[in-house]
Amino acid sequence: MMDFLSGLEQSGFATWVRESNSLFAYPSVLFLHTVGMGFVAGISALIDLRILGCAPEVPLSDMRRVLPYMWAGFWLNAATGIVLFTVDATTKAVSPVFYVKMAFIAMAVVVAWLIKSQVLRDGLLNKRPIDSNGKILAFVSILCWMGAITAGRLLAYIGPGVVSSGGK
Amino acid sequence: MSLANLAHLHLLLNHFPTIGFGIALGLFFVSLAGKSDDLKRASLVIFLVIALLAIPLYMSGKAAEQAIAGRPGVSETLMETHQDAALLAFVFMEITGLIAWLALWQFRRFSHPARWNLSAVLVLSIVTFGLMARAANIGGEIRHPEITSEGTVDSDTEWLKSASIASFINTTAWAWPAIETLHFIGLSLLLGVAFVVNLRVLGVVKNVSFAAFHRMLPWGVLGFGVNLATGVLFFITVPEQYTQNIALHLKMVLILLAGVNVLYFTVFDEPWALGPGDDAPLKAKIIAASTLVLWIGVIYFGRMMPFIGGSF
Amino acid sequence: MALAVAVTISVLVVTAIVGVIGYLIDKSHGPNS
Repeated sequence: MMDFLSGLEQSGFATWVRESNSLFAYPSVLFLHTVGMGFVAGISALIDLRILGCAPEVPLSDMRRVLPYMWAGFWLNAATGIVLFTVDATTKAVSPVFYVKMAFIAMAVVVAWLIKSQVLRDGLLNKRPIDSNGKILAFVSILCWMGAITAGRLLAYIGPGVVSSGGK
Repeated sequence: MSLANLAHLHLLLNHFPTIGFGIALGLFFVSLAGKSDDLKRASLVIFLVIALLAIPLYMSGKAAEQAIAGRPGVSETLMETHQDAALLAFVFMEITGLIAWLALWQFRRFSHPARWNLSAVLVLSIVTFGLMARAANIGGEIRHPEITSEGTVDSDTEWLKSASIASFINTTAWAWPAIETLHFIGLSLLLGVAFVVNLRVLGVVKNVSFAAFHRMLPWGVLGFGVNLATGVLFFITVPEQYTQNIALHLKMVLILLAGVNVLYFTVFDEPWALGPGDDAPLKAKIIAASTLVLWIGVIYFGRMMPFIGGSF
Repeated sequence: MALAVAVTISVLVVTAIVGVIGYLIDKSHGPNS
């Protein structure tokens, strides 16, 4: 397993990303990952806040239409995340914080799917208040993305890091 | 920008939260006495714009300090006291700006702000003006010893001390990562709101009125507030990483421009008038697109700070 | 570990405070504009 990860880490692409001085390498991957985070966590938070009762003028059935943009952010981060992983594969693969982050993301995705199928698909969506089940899902969704962001940031501080993006 | 240019910027900008704010305050008094809604809104906009300008003002102060530190006749204690007095004034200024924004938002939605809001703006702006005047006065003494009445001011008189804040964050291991995490969370909230609101103007989810999405703006401003606070904490802790960092300067410029865009969506008739099914005029769409580009640009320069500017 | 716990708790506390402030501001503007 370690050989495979090591191979990934030493591959031409990963080496270029990690060691090139070009702004298009590691810095850009980080930048895109941040943008993706903003989209996926931000739009998710808006939908969750709406389900929890904020900004009630916005019809929830219409909020469904921004979901594709949320998923675009998700896939952008999946792709950039894979790149970030390969750059530091041998370290990340044995880092508990990394798996905590992945677990939060997996939970967030499951909750998002549940929200879509249980809350947003409800035929009476705009005609009655959201039941407490939906509200709990929305709250958990917020917590999951917060957990993912926190764990993601901690990756730069806990465990040996090859390329730390911490500012200090 | 060189230290000398940033020092000049500081001396230029400091007129806004002092003289400019004083004029705005006068205008606000007149608007309250004369019960003029238009004048009220004008003063609130000026409060908000000055609050935005206070951000590069505060930051350039650090560069100004570095530019003249060590010169004969320049008191380090006075500069530190000025910095701390300025920080306190800055905090109140930003709170005033945020509440002034909320008043403008309420003006748009309800044709009048909540009663508590205008009273809060009044009290806060008076306090802010007093604190700014005090900070400016101390600042003036740094290079004008001829007007100093007594000896140097003792920096222990200040409530909010940058040195204590920096020391705490530097010595507490969890502080910096926590502040960074909060900065990302604020960013996500801000970008989420900006994205959805601007998407509507650009034509997505057109069957919903703009006014419905306008309701979400306070959450975006809340996200911005979190990032303003965490950003200032970063700056206070390791100013040397930031004062001459070109990426940070560009980030601040983009934030100011984005702030103006937010004002457009908060207050102007054009986006507000978009009802269900309405297509926005080209000008609004251009502004919406530019807002998104600006905020992504802010993220870009923020992320690039260790790589461009190279002071990390 | 201690670092992770401290960061998580402080982030949760601050976000909770900010969230409550936001919620109160939102609620105070009424259910239907």
